[in-house]
Amino acid sequence: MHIVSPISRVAEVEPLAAAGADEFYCGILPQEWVGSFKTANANRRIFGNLTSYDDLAHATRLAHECKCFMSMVLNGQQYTQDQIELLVDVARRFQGCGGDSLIVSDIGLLLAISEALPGFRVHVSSVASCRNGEAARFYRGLGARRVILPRDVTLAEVARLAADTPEIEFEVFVLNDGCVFEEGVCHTIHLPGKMGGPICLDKYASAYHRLDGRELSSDEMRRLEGNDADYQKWLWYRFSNGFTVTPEGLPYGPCGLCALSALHLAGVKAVKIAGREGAPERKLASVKMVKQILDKVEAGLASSEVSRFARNLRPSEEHCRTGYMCYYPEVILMEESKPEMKTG
Amino acid sequence: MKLVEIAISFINYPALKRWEAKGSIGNELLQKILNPENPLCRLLPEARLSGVYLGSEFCEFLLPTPEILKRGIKLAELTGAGFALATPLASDGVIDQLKELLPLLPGESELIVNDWGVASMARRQVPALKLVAGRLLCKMIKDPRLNSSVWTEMYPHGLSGDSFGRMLDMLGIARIELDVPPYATPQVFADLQLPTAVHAPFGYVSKGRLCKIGSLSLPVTQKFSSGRECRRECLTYVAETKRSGNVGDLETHQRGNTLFYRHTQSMAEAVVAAFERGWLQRLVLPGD
Repeated sequence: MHIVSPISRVAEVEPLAAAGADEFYCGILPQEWVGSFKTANANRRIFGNLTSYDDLAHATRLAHECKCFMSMVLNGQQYTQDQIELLVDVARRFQGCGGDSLIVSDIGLLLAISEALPGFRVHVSSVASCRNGEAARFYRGLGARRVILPRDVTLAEVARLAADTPEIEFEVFVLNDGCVFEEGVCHTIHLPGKMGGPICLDKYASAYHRLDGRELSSDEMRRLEGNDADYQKWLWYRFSNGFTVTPEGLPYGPCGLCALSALHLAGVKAVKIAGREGAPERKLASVKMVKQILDKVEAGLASSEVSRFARNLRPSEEHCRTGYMCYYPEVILMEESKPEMKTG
Repeated sequence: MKLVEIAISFINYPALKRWEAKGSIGNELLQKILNPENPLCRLLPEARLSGVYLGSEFCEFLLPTPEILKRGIKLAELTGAGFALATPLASDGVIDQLKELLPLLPGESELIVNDWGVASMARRQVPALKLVAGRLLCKMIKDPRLNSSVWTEMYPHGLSGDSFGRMLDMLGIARIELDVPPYATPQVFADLQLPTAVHAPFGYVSKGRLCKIGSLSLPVTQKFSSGRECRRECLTYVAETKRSGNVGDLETHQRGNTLFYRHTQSMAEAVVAAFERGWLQRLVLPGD
């Protein structure tokens, strides 16, 4: 399985490759985009982009020297036709400087790229919310070679997709950054902090009512309040345990490390570390963590041993036990009910 | 102005049963949904009921059973309206269920798709169905917290684009469904390439796969994750949601895994104007 790491600076490429990254993904904010559309939203992240085509070419060259693969994100949820035409030119320039693949979510852009740049490798972004084999085959028909599955798929769903759709590769989330809503169907803007930031981090309070018009009983109110309290706890985990790290700098937060055995067994091609906008140290620590676990998986260590190692890495036993820090919380249940998986 | 088509959508059986018992879903329901001050009421004298929708665009746990689907089809027949099955983003498990349900639909039914895989499968397996691209596929910015139209202008939708239109055509999609975004003007609905429906008086902001209210009855360690049992608490409870101190926000509520906003008067006026100009064909109102 490949480790896919984000970058936002050329200087990140070599240390991340040395730490174990096999693939990189990056974004760029082209000046012609800013000039034409007066915005900075060429992709999903306004920050965390390379700043020039020179940097894009340089990062790609360095990645190749490190035997790594470079993808560029064009992963806005929606683009106008004018924007699509400009992005096809951006994609062509990336191809010209040796880029390996594009990460695309908008269906119109995907069609335009398949026509304008046939044969150029395309990965369907997690923002496209593809989680069934029919959709994966549909994207394959448009030339896509890989689907990056959204967050909140189950391991059983991943395994079925990989088994039923061998004609396309699958990549899944393994570390960092959780969305509360589904990224591909969340039609909000990550506003500046003083306006509330991302809507799922914003301070919304809920007041419940029954749809049949009856008053809530005291028992219902108690249960709803308890559920809301659990939800607030879950949100803390979802947002990287309050954006905390261990004293050694290892990041907490959404994590699928103990599921790597199952993902490997399922035939998943690559695991994605999220967070282009993150600090270089966070990216480096994340790649090192995934690499340590993956080496054990690929060496054939039993899944229970892999899980134990993963939980002791930060260590995070207490957090793992809640199930709230997990991309794939069913691993805990699987370990209790199924025989061990051996890989490698 | 051309005759306005009205469709009524039902998420699930309890509401359907109420109207099934009455044998009609006429003015009484419409008056319940739209208060008299809503500008959309001006459309009603020119309207006819053209569709009964059943199912959820937002949740995989709200697919109707075959039995309920048949009752929905029957209700549509009773009212003289067409029938539409609304479908969500789909895992393979949902695709399996749809493969059982779709052959039960009358040939002229509409299938509202919110997943390219569902569209692709339906086109291949049940080509007689009329495919409609739902709100999850017709993306636009709908953040209820925006304090200026400048924000929505920075993120225009691509629904009038040639590439999007050709993709719909390739899949045999003949109609699209939209929300009314914040700060909407009638021009939002100009230049769309296919007959278009809008949902009112609520728009959807965002949906999750994980569901807060759907976790109400689960053990603590199993809450807020995929692949768990759901007791459909969204059919019993709704939450009004509010940010303290933000008086300019649109009114919002969360039902199940989805956050909605209520249209303002000016957004409703934009819809009326778009109907008057012939840019919209159908108004979809919630029946439950």
